[in-house]
Amino acid sequence: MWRLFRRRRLRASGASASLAEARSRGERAEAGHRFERDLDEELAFHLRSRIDDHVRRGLNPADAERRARLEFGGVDKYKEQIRDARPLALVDDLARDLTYAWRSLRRTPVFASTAIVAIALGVAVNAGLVTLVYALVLRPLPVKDPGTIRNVFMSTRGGGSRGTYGTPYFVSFPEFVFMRSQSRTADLAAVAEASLSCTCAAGGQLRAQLVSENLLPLIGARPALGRFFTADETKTPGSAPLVVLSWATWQQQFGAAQDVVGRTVNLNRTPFTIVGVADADATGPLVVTPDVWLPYTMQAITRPGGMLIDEPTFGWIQILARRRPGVSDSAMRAELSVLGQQSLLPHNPDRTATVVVSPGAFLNYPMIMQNGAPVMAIAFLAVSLVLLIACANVANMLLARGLGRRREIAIRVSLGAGRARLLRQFLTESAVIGALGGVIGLMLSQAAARFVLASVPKSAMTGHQIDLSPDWWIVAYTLTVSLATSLFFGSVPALRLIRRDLTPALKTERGIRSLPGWRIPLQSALVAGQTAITLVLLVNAGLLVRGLDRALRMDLGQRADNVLIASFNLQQEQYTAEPAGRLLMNLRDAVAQSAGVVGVSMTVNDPLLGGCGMRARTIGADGRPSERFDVACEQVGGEYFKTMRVAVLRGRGFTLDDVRRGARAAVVDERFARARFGDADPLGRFVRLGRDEDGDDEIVGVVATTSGIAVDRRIRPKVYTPIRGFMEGRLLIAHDGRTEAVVSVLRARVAEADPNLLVSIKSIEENVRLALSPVRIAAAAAAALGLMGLVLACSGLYGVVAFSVSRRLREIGIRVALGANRTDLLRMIVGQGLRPVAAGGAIGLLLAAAGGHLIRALLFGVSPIDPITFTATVLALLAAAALAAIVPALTALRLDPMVALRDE
Amino acid sequence: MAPRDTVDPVDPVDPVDNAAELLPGTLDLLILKAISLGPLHGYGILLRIEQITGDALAIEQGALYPALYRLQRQRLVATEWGTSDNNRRAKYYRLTAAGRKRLREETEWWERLVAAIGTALRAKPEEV
Repeated sequence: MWRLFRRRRLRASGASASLAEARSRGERAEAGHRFERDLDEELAFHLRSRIDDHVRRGLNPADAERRARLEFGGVDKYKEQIRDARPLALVDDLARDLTYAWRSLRRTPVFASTAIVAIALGVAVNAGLVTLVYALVLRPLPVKDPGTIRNVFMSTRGGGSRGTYGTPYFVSFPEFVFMRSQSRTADLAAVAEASLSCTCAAGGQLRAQLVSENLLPLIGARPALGRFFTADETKTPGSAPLVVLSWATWQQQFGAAQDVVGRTVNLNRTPFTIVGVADADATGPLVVTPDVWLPYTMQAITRPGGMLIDEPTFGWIQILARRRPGVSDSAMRAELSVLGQQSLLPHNPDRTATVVVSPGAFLNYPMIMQNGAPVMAIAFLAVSLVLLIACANVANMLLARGLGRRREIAIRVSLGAGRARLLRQFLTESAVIGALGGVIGLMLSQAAARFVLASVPKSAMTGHQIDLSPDWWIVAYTLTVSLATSLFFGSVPALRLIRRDLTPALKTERGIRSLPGWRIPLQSALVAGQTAITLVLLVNAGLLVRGLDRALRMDLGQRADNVLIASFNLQQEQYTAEPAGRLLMNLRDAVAQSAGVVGVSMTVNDPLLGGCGMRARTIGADGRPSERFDVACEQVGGEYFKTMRVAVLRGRGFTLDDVRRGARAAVVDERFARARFGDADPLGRFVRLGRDEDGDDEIVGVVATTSGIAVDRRIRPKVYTPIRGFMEGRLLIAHDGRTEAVVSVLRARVAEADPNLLVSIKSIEENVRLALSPVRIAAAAAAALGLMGLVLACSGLYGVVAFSVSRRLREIGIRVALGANRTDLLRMIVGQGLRPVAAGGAIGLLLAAAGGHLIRALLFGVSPIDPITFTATVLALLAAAALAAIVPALTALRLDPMVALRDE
Repeated sequence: MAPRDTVDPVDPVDPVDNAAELLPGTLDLLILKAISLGPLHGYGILLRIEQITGDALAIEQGALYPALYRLQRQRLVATEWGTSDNNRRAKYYRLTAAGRKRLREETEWWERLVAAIGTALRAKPEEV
């Protein structure tokens, strides 16, 4: 009788033999399942006692057992109820579901690993992007108590003269001093960046932070040796040539000498006394870690003439604040807004201050947050689409597998397993996939973020301290995303499976047979969705690649090859404008004579990268100045247009003599001429750049409009003037391809002129590359995302076709046996498999056509609905999809029809 | 815990004609009463309930067990494994102090309820 009970129990717990085995083997093996054993024994005892009683009353054993069972009711139903009544039933159930899920995934390793990899890839790109954004604009600064550190950004609007060096959020020295002395809500500290020449450093250059005396204590830095600055030492400009070394500089450049304090070093040819060394954890509040700290009152030595610190209308100081206890951000903002406005009164009375108080993070300037948001939104959309494709894949696989398990499910439901319980089991399985995918995805995302960061041009990133390591926010985000998506996409097939009327599944030998052959709408819809999204990603990638290609071939209206750009550290070497001009002119003359050189000129802006913007007026024929308008400005040397091959359309370019005597002449581009003068002759007219008191320049020539390749192309009319800012001058050397020879001649000439002067030489091709690097990165990222989407979508399609073919093996077998043409059959299977692809593709085309407009800025004139890109992408997608459908179809057709027929 | 919409393939058996439906909550009370007279195993509790109610209540025997486990979880009953009269291993239930207190409270409540309902049902039209 015990035997009988056991048999019944086995059948009850799941008719699928494997399931029952799995349960009895696995669960019984575990000590934690003593509960189940006891429960079985208790219920068995009850039944046996009842049967004994019935037998004693004269029933035969078989009737007695039947009677006892009827009286007892559904054993499994009550067992389920009992399990629920147990203390910690939830935890126990969870453990059981997890074990079950793990075991069922282990039984289908291909399915499991495909699903996990799909989720991992989808999550990786998503978390990778979030990691990057977090590290750049959200992560708290690497300082003590970052929670109360705030960035204070003040911008100004209105009339009067105002300049900033760096971001528009920097304030001038008197403004900072005023705000700091008046603020009751926060302690304000000043920081600015500079680079210095020092023979003490390898490479001759040091990165410096110019700071108020409270900055280092404010960020929690401690002196490892000596001391930091005192309040007196940062009061009067130029009074305290003192320097604090960073720990790394002390270790690397000074051999960790204990007697370093008190030594003198020459920074920008000015003697400074070392007063201290900061501890190793002090890396500063900015993206770039400094080698040394100087009092910000020593700013003048970084720019001879002291043009910044003596100029109250020139912003160069970034404000870092430590909020005082009990103060809210809004109170702080309110106070600093008032103080900021007051600080402008003495020198900028016509301007209005806007103050923003942001959490202490690296690059969260309001401008970056505003301009970056749409870019980030597009990027986030793209990575989310990849995640969506991955999840649709997983949903499809779960659904296919679930359909294969319909009979098992039907039996379990009919035996009293609650649907909620089944749903939970399915979802546990999805959660396991999601968790494993999430963990792998987290690791991949780290690699992805690092890879992206590494592909940013080095020159912009020297000495950065961007921290990509995941903190709890990132880990929590990643796992939440992976679990949420896998649970959501797991619930779709799970709900569908348990919702169905299960009777047909029970009635047939193999449940799946009773379902209509091809029509699996949910699966088809998922494939269609994947196709649509993939097409969008691929089209955008294609457009970006075409845009990049276009940009590389674009006629810039000027020379973009075989030009060397030489720049000098004239400021650091304490040059002033006049000797700097003489030096550059002499170098120009010396290099122009050398073999291989076809032209030499000068410029201030870094060609194709740098830019200069100004407000200007033109002077009417009647002598009345026009309203101010925006222009791009360019200060250039003699023979610039010849050297850079910019066509002179009217009048003349600048001569060497124009530059030498500082002629008040201007050359405008065609866009300027047309916009300001229409058909009238601009030659002989005047343009007034900047302030009215600075005077007018006579227009002597009109040149062809050049087009930049930087992504941010605010198209403005351009005015060229003879170079005056020699301190920032660069030599442009056009050559015939003999780069090496020209470089060595140039270095020799510079060394002859001033042995201390550092010259850095790069080719204009490097600038082209740099200017295009955002496009290149975007194109590479889009291509990577598109290919990932393609692979995922194709593997999804493969799975669906393979699954539907496997369900029709018998039908296929019959058709083949009856002499159907295999080619026709293949065409039929593939055709039916591709139907959702075609539908999805059509939707995708519409979406892609709409989406292309979002990235227009990166396309360099390629149409967002470029027919070549669209056609090529659609063909590639169809080819890949056809391949994904043909492979499983061929496999099925290759089967011996007899095997297929017998497959029961 | 999510509600279960279980499908029960076996029709409930009604061994006794005219058996009363069990009021919700009364099964717990009957169990507590049954084991208040001494420790019993599950089957013993069933027999005792049948005996003290004079077979007047119909329950599916299996329903006893979820109730027992529920009481155990509320620490109203304690369990230990022992040997039954016919020398089989069986799980015995006995009342805890809390269980004894609960039984007393529930009994009082029940008696008050019965008295109240009884009074109500005996009420004659003129008394209203």
